[in-house]
Amino acid sequence: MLNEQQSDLLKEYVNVFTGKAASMLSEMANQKILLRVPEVEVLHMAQDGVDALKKISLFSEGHIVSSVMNFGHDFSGRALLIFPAEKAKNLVDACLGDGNGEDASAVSLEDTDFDVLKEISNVLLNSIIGEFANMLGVKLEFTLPDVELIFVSEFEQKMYLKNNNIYILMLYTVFTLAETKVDGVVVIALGMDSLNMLVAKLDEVLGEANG
Amino acid sequence: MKILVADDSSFIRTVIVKKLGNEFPGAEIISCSNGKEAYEKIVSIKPDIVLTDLLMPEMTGEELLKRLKSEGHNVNTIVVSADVQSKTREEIKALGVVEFINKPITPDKLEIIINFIRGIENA
Repeated sequence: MLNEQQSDLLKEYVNVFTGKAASMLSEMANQKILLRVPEVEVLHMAQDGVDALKKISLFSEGHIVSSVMNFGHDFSGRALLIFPAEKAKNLVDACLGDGNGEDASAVSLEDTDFDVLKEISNVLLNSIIGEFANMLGVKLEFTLPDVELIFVSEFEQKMYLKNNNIYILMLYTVFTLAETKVDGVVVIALGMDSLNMLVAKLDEVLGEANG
Repeated sequence: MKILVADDSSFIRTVIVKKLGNEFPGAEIISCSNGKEAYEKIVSIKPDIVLTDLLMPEMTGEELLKRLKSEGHNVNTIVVSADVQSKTREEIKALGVVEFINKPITPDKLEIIINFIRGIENA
């Protein structure tokens, strides 16, 4: 779907966008965030299906916390932030400046924890998708984040948009807090029109660069 | 002085209200969780300063600002939002807000908010 140049440029943009999001997370948790170079891949759900999800090998079983925001108008899709449930409490504690750093049971998450997780997702996903909007020169509107505790097996359906003939722009990144390793994944699901818009922008930038 | 804080996140409301309460002990600080409640409180309580999020249920911050402007309510408003889009910032600024601050809320950003409130208080 993407040629080598397009993929390289998109990876560079994603590097910058996720770097800004990591900086925001660092401010929230008051800790240094180590960020792995993100992987960028365009997958077709109808063709790659569940196999595509296996690429997210961090989460093979158990509970995950899934936060979903839809965005729309000219550039539309769905952004997801997921991380293992047992680490969610650590992330909340880091942002609140308390906790003992030990993993917690998923069932110990309280309403106030979900409220903090919702705000973390709001900031991180808004940052990444908002920068895409700035790059494309469009204005987006977002839904409120929907944060849920789900089984890994339930995750696939979260990625589907109304039209199942979709491509998934998968951004995979691991962020590490200084004290506690928290593995997080950002996934962006785009419709065909939006992916075409993104590719056209990449071609425009590449054309200017290549003179 | 009356300060209204509108944000759907109780976490953010707690952080802001606590800080403003410490900095402005004589102020009456009211909070709410959506734009509709904020509108009702602005009309009834007439706060001197409003801090509002944009993405909220019931009525967004942008809808709130448009309604206030169309009805002629002049309130000193600071927007505190995770929305980093340039176009959003331009459109919101055009609605007459005094400052647009991007989340996350940090001690530095709280200081900016406090200084703005002090400036408004002393004006």
